[in-house]
Amino acid sequence: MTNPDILDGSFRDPAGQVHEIDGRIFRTVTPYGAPAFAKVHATNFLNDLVKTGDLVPYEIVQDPKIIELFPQAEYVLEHKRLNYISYPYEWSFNLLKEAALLHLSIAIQALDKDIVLTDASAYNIQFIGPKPIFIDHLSFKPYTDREYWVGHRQFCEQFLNPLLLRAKLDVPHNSWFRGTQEGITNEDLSKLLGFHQKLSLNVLSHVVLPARFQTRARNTQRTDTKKISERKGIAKTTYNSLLVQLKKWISTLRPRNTHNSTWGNYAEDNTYNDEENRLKADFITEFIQSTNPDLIYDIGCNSGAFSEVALKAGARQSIGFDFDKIAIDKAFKRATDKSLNLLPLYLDAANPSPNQGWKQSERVGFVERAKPDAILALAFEHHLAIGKNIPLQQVIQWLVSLAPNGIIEFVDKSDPTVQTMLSMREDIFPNYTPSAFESALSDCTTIVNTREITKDGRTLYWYKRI
Amino acid sequence: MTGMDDESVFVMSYSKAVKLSGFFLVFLNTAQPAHAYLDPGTGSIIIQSIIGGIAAAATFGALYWAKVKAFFNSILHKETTDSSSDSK
Repeated sequence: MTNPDILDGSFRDPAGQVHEIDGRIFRTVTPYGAPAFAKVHATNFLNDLVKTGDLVPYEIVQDPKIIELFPQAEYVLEHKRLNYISYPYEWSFNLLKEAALLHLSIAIQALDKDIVLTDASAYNIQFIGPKPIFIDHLSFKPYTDREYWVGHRQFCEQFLNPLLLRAKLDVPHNSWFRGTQEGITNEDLSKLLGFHQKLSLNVLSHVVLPARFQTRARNTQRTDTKKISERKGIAKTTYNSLLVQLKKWISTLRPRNTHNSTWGNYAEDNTYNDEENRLKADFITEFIQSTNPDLIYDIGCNSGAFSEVALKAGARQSIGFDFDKIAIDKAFKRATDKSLNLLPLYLDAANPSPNQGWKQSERVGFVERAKPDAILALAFEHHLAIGKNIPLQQVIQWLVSLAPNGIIEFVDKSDPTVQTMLSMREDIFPNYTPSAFESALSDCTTIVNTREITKDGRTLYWYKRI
Repeated sequence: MTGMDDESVFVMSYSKAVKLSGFFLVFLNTAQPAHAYLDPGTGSIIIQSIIGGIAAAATFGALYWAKVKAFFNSILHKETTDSSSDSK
């Protein structure tokens, strides 16, 4: 067997890297990381976290055939594989908030056992449905008396500041975070906050003052700043209170303006009546029962109503995608309230997450990420074909390339929503017709079934890739 | 020192111990983990030191306040004992 590749993204950690072999996930622990891991593992703290569902289950590999693949490693761990990977810049406000609270909760529990986290990267957390889970087993090490919380800066940049951007300024963090990959700096956020917002003790302590000190340290002579080894550190109680206070504060954060968004109230006021929604639900149920998919993508999921239908009909897991920030938070609420295996993520389909980071392979792009068994693209294609001027044929080809089976809803020009979209502009879409849609779809797939949903021109098409 | 309950005596000796250990901590060159691969950021370290300092001062202040309260308690206790013996 050839040398297993390091899964890009884990190469920075000197304590160990993650590898994939035959669909199994292994983590090596280097001689550098071994002592800390051994001590932490011996306390059984990691197992406690696994039991509460807060840490991905793992075991130390004994199989010699695996061990000999990693001659440099002190230990080899095997992890339970996660079904879907997502990144902080794809999370809604509430997903990021839940991730932040989990991180702090783990840090607080760990400190109680004299264990600390060595960093505070948001990429150390993944989601199973709407529930966060910690994935970096090597992020733990024994507590040294009076040590500082070294992850504080990273925690603020990757968790706190993106949340504050929305909570204080009503700006979603997704595009900014995707650009920087490492969150939002205190200095940048400080420049945007209003004067009154900066006066809060919490904002001063975690955003404004650290930024001020950092700038000052950078601008003065380097020799003036005390080295960390010369400082006397902080008491364990102080460390703990930092974590506890942050957790209290973050749990109170909410998006500043929960009411104004174009599609946020869609589930309540849209162009379908109850009967039409039922027709949609029935068609989806037939589709799911026939194709029996494990993983589905719900593209343009809005508040997740039809993901709910699909999951109840037997789909194992749904990843919802939408670009409306309020809609994906509503979908999150639905997923948690009804215990659905639905993970709603931010996606602008005309600009999906690319491969990026180091060597442009550290973070995997939208299409490369996974292969769903089925897709739902309901009340969606007109946003690309009309809204973004993307040729209808390309929209269909792109959707169909995502999964072997799916339902695409065609929204004709006679529909009120499209009428609104065209009301302020010239109608440059002579080829946007039901027959053009059907022809393009049957070029690359078999149309298994169709159902007219509204008299004004919404029809569902069930395709199966040839 | 008469009229002082055990609690206040404990508080007074404890605050002496805190003052002493404070001296020790300043001179103690505690080892910070040298192999952290993450840059904690100067700003973060400074603010943590400040918060730690405020917390220490607050604890010290709370103990000092306990002493003050104990002192006033002892005065009041003496007064009520006097007045109650008067009424007898």
